[in-house]
Amino acid sequence: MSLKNALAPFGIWARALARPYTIPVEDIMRAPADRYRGWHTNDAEACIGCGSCSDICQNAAIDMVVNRDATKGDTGLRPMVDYGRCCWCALCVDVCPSGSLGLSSEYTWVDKDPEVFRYVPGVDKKPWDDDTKGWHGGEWDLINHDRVPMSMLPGETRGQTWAEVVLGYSEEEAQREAARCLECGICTAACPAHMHIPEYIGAIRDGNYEQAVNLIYETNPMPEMCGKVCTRRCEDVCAHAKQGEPVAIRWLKRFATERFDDLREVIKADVAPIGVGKRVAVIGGGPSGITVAYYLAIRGFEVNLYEALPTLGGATFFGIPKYRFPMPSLEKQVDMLRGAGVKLHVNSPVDAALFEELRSTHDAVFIGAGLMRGKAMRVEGEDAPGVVNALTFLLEHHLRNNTDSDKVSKEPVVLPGMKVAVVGGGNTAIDAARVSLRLGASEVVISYRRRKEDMPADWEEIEDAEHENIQIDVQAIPLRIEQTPDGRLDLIWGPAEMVADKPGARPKPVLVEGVENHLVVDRIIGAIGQGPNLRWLSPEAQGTIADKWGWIKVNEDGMTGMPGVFAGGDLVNETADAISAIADGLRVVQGIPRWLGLQ
Amino acid sequence: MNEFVQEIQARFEVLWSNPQRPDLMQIGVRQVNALPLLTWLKSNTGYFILNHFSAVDWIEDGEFQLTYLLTDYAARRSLMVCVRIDRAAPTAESVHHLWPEAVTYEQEMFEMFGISFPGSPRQGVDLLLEGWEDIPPMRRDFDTAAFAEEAFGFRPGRTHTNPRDRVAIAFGQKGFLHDH
Repeated sequence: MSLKNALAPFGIWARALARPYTIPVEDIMRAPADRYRGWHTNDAEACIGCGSCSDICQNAAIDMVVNRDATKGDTGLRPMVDYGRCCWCALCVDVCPSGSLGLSSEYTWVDKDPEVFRYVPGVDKKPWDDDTKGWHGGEWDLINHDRVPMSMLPGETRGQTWAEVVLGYSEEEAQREAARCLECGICTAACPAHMHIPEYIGAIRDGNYEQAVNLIYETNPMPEMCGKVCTRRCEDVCAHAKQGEPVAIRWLKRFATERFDDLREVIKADVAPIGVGKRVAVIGGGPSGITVAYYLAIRGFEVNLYEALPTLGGATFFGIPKYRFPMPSLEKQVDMLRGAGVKLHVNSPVDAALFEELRSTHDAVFIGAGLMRGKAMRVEGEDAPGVVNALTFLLEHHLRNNTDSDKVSKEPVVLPGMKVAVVGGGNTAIDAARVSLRLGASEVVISYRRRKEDMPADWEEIEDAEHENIQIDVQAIPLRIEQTPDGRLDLIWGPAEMVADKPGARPKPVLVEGVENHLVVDRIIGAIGQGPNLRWLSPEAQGTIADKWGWIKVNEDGMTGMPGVFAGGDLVNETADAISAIADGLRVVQGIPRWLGLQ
Repeated sequence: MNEFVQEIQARFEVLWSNPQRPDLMQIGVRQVNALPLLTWLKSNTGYFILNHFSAVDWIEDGEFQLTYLLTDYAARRSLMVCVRIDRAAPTAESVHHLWPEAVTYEQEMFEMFGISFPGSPRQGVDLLLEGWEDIPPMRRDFDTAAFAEEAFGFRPGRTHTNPRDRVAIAFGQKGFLHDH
């Protein structure tokens, strides 16, 4: 090595005090463009864990990882991004149905550890989490927020007919609506029966209708009923509902079942005949009883079903009007029970003696007797002639029109030309109002204590009623009912003021004192709820299975405090809708074989 | 810009026109008319700048669309000329003699879509995809996700939970038509 080479490295010291050639990065670093696509941000509380970001990612850069418990409306998963594969295309942002995912404008991040470039945005805190610049979507979306509209009879004229209001999707419409489904499955958590919703919607989209109805029958023996009148909690939590209209899950189920006039040849059960030689009695032919009877019958049980009315269906027969759920739809599902070998005993009310006999002659008894007592309005004067309970009104109406029952008067309570007031805000109130209209009432008014947005009725039912020119008076508290000299009824009500209640609860109506309004009508229908009535049982049996109000408590198998006696439906659950009753039935379908040691 | 479309219509058949913005008109013409129209536009009108030139894969129609974006800088407006060509035999006349910069666009479209422009100088010369053997990657029947899966390894330790499965397990989803 020459001396020159050996000394060369020290030459740099000659520039030790000179200005550097290099420029500090801060001096030239420019802010990125406003819509620069950098590291992800995610509002972890708004995210629902649907996985659409992971599905659309063409580079397979996004995993869904467990972050919290799954709840109704949240899978509890959150996206984790592997920046070794991300190309910052932002398809994940544009497809995000909750709008929670975004890209910040921050793009520099240096680290020696490659593992840090895989993180869960919004959960693993980053300096750019609150960056409002970057790309946060919203200018266009890759998902279609609008559902395919449903054809209906026009509101002005349909009040004069009993024809079904909803006309159903065409095949093309159904497939188009089914194609909107993101297949995240969030809906299945909210469905009390946890139906296989994305699976059957996928089958409808692909035109596999037999497969669709078979998937539906996995958990629901009354799908045409649910397809028409379900309370569809599934749609409330649909990922699309965050920024648009939920997938029309109910109408798609309806479409699939209506493809078949007779489902007996279509539904293919494949279950072991574990119940051969065992007998089960079912009391009540509503959704819970039908569920227990159908799924136990296909397992070889001998099932005797007792129904007090001339027709099965329970509240879906006597409560739900036929313009929503026509008789042929109901009969189609009853045919499935017959096909499964269930012995149907209609016009067969069960009393205390028969109950004891059923207990001794059957291996298990199921009670799904429903809520057969309409609650009183508890206002002075409600025993005046012309004031009726909605439950009685609807029951008598449906028996008169759809059966040959001789237990009801030939003449309806509501006659043509009458003005009718309905007190209440649930689906029963809407049903009573719309039935009154179809009986010829000249004017129908629904009077409700709270605001319209507080009404428990389905929003579509409320809209449908309004389209039929039914008037809805809100924040109206009934005070008393008086008879007018000309034989009419005066519903005297006071205005309500909405007062905030405890967090999470609806605001409660408080009467504004000193104001009295008059609503003069010919008939008043009270529709403020239903309660249990177990008086057909002996007092001892009532005391064993129910509390003092008549509500039945059951264990995780659906069994009451009386061994071998199971229960479900509105007598047991608080939600009092058909799909919850079906879910109760499914619990008992597992519970009875377990109790009998058949599994 | 509608009068201008009528002026074009007087010379060449315009299949459709769509005023996207006040300063941007889209027109569709037959492939046979494309080169004469572009030559006329460059020689006789303000639209003599080829601002952009690209393709769209209309796989459902069995066609590619060539899109020539011409700009009249003096008038500050643009004309998008759209030409559908057969996807099964994707060949179009080169415009590199009108606009030298078209060479790179045509080279790119050959590589990314497999559309050939006979006579264009750098046809078949690799631009980005050195040693590419698969179908051209911008064709919509190219499976990007499958390619990414094959070509790039996964970082160890990655796990993915299907949202549908998580809900089904958490809420005890069952089926009652079949024994499981």
